[in-house]
Amino acid sequence: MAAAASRLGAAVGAVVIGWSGQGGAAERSFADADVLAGKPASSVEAVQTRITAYEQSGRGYQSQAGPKLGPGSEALHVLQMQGEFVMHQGDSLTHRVWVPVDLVTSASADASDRYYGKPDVVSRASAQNLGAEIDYQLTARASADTSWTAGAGMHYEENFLSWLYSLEYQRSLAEDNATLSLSANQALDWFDAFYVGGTRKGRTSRSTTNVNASLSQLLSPSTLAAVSYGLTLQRGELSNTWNSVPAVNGERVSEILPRLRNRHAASVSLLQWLPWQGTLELRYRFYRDDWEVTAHTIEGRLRQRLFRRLVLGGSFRHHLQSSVFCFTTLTPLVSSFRTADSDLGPFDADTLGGSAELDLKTNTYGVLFLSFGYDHYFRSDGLRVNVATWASGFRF
Amino acid sequence: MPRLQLVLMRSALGACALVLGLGLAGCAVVPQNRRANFADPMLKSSDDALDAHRQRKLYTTREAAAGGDGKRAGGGCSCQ
Repeated sequence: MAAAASRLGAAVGAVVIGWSGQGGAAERSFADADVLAGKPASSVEAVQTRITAYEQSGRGYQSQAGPKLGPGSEALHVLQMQGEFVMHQGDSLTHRVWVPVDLVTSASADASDRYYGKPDVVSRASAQNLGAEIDYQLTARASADTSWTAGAGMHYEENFLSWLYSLEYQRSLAEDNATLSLSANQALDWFDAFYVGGTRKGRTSRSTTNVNASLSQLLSPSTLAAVSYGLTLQRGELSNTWNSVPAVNGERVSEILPRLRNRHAASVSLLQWLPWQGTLELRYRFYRDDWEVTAHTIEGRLRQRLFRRLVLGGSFRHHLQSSVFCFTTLTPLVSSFRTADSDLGPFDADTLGGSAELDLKTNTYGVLFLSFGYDHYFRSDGLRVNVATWASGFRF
Repeated sequence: MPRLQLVLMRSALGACALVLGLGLAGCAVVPQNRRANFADPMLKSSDDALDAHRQRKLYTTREAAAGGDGKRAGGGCSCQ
């Protein structure tokens, strides 16, 4: 939905010759020489990098880093680096290469030992883990109002490999007043499984198939609305395999989750231009799956341009979810399914965020943009995450 | 789930659906020469792809609910 709306915005932007807004990225030259020169065979659209740091604290009953039966620590740090390169080839092809790299503590079992020793899933889960991914997307414009995007990627962590595929069809309707987008995503994960004490028990896998449909529509010269629905089917080992559950005998036993999960999510959003150089975005999402999770999420974001080149933003998000059917903090020894993962429990979560974006026009390299943001995420079960993000790059 | 919050959520859903329904029911075509606001980069429904990814990562790895945004909802990461 976001991509569809974004492209709709870009499409209408391309035909509005007379726009005289303040944003540097949208300023274009219409001198005779520029118009008559035509479009080059290949051109770089954007190059950017983004660094994000996550600092999390909290306690969950799935973690063994604490009292035997009590909640253990969920503290972790993540340093995430992303790079993106977007290039046009002719009038109809767009290439996008995207490389996210995550440097994580305590996220995965520490499987970096070369001789397949016993990983630490008890005290810290992992002292340090490196996850990296590379994705490539090719968008082809089949006609003036239709485009196809195909993507492929690969994700790697110490004990984990994943292959990713995607296909998206997008069509503009009603003289570019609406955009319909249909997409499908497939992820195949192949990873090590562990007993609760950290001993390996071979390899396992999971499949995630996802289909989406979204429609965005101009409601007025200053209002854009969108609706979206997504269905996700997951098959295979859906636990990370090292999560534990406190048991009535005073020990910890392995988490057991069903091997099937069908997930439904639908959202509506409204984006409104404000006459004082600002925008307001509101979004609601409803979620339901066959593990009996029901969730509601509302989000709002306000952005305001100041001094021509500076955009300040503030955002709020509230999320409310029920637990999966087998959530427990103390399980009998014999049970078909069980989990103590705090992420699958009942809670409500809030996020407060702020951002600042600066566009600086250069003579040679298009628009240099700098962006800084901060989010504070806090849950009713005590989990806290501080997120700081910094981006810079060029738009041509 | 507290009853008051459920009522608020459902009210919000109803309001959004109503506004959207009324808007789509009108479906008046906005002429191209009246879309100047949409040429502004600020009027797009999400941040850039990298910012969207870092936000999605924050939520999909910490909440049991994901999806509805046109992207995959699970898989591709050992923390999901």
